[in-house]
Amino acid sequence: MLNLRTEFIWTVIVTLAAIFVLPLFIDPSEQTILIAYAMMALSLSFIWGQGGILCFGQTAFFGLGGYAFALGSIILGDAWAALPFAIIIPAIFAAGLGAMMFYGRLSDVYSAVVTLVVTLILFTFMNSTAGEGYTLFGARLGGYNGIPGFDPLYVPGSPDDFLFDLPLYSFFVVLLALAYFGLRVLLKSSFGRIIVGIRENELRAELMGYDIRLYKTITFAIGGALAGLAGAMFADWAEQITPKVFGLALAAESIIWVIVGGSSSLFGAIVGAAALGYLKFRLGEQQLIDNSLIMGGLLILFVLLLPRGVVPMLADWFGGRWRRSGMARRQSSGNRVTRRMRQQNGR
Amino acid sequence: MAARPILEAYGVTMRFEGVTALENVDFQLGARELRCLIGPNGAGKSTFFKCVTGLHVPTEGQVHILGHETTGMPPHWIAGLGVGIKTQVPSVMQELTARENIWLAARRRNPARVANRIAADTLDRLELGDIADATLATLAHGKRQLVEFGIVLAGQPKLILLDEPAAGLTADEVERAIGIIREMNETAAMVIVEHDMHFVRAIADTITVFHRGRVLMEAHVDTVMNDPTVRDVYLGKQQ
Repeated sequence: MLNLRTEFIWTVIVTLAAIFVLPLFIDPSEQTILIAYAMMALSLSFIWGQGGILCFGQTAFFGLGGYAFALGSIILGDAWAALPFAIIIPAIFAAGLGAMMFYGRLSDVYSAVVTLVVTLILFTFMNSTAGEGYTLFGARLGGYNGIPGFDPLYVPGSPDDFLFDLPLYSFFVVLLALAYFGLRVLLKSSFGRIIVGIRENELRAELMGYDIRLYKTITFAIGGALAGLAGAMFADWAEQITPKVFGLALAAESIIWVIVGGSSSLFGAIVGAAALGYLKFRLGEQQLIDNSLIMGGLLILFVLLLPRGVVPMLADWFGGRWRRSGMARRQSSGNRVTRRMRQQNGR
Repeated sequence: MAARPILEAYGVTMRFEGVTALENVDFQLGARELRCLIGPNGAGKSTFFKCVTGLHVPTEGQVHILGHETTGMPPHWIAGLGVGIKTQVPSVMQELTARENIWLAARRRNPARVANRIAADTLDRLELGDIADATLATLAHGKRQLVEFGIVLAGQPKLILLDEPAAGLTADEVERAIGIIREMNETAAMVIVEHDMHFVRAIADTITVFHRGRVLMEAHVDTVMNDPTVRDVYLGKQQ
C-alpha cells in the first residue's frame, strides 16, 4: 500500500501530464467530455468497488446534476452559483434512495435493479416535459430536446469570458484529481476502512456494532454527489442537457468503464472511462461496425479474460516485480546481519 | 450476588410459518458466568442464540442484556452495548488482513489510535503476530477462527456469545480455544453453543439442554451427563 504522501505526488504528476502532455495527442475542446465521464466512473467505482454497492443507475445522479446545473444557471443567472446545487441535489436524492434501499434491507441485486429503474423513470419523465407547463421558477424543462443555451462557467471575475477549450479541460482535470485524492484520503480514514469492512462482510460489520445501513447510505450519497458534479461538467461542456443522460446506453457504458478499468481501483475507473470514451469517439467516425456491439464485445472479453480489469492487473504485475526485488534485498541484508552476528559470537 | 443478570430472557418464543422453533424459553446468565447450550440438531439452540443477538426478532417474549431491553433491536445496536458475537459459520472479512479485521472491531467503541493499540495487544495475546498482515483468505481455517476470537476480544465485550467455537478445529486448536475462552471469561459473561462434549466439559460448570425448542434441563455438567433423558435425546432413542 502506498502512503498518502506518495499517492499525492503521483496524483500531481498524473494531473500535470493530463493537462500538459495529453492535449498534444487529443483535442481538449472535443475530449473534455472524457473528464466528465471519468468523474462519473470514479463515483461509481467508489460506491461499487470500495463500498460494495452495485448501482446500475449512476446516470440518475449524473443526469440530475446536469439538469440542476442547467436550471440553476438559468434561474440564478450564474453558472458558478448553480454548481453547488448540481452536487447537493443529487447527493440528497441519492441519500433518500439509498436510505430506502438499505434501511429496507433490499438485497444487492434488487438494489441494483431499483437504481436502474430509477434512472429509466427519470429518462421517461424528462422526455415527457416538453409542454409549456413544465417549468421550474420560469425555466423550461424542455422535454425531449432538453435545455439548451444556458450560460456556462466563466473566468471568475469576468462573467463574459466563458471557460472553454484548454482552460475548461484543465479545470475539470483538476476537479477530477481533487475528487480522486479526496476519496483516497477518505478510504484511509476510519470511515473508509469501515465501509471497506462492510463491503467484505456485512454481517461481521454489523456484529461488530456498525450500523451498516447508515454507512451504506452515506457512501451512496457521496457517490451521488460526485456523479452530480460529473453531470454538471458534462452539461457545461456540451452547453446543453437532454434526457439522454438518464438513458440505458450511458448507464450500461458507465458499468463497462469501471469493469474494464478494474472495479477495485479508483484510478482504474478513470482510465477505463477515458480510454473507452475515446475509443467510442474514434469508432463513431467509422460506419462499418455498430458502436455498442464493440462495447458489448469488450465487456464480455474482459469479464471472461480479465475480470479484475486493466489497472489492478498491471498494478499487481509491476507491484509483484517490485515487491519481489524488495524482498530479495531485505533477505540479503538479513543474511548479512546474521553473518555479522555469527562472526561476533565466534570472536 | 444480588446484581442483576447480564442476560435475561423471558418466555422467548420463535415461530417460522407454523413451525415453532423455540417455545417459552426462560434464561438467566449472571455476571462472569459461563454457560454452554447443548442439544441435538434442531433443538433451538441456534435460534435462541439468534434471538439474543438480534438476528431474529422473537415472536413472543423479551430479552434484556446488560440492563437494556434488546427485544427487536438491530444486531449492531446490541453489539454496541458491549456484546461480542461469533456466529456458527465463520464470519470474517476475507480480503482484509488479520490486523485490519481486529482493528475494525476495536474501532467501534474507541478512537483510531486506541484501536491501533488494542489491535496490536489482541494480536499479541493470541500469538497471531506472524500472520498479522496476511489476508484472511490465505489463512487456514483454524487461524481464521483465532482471528474471529480476536475480533470478539477487541470489542472489549462484557457479554460474549459464541456459536460452535470448536467446529472444524484440530485437537491442538481446540486446546488453544479452551485456553482463550477461559481467558475471555475472566472479564466477560459467556454463552456458548457447542456440540463437542469434551469441549463443553472442559469449560462449563452449568449447562442448559435444549430439546424440541424448549429448555429440557439446566444443571451442573455432571448431573446433565448422567441424566437418562439427556442421554436418550442425544443418542436419538425413541422412548
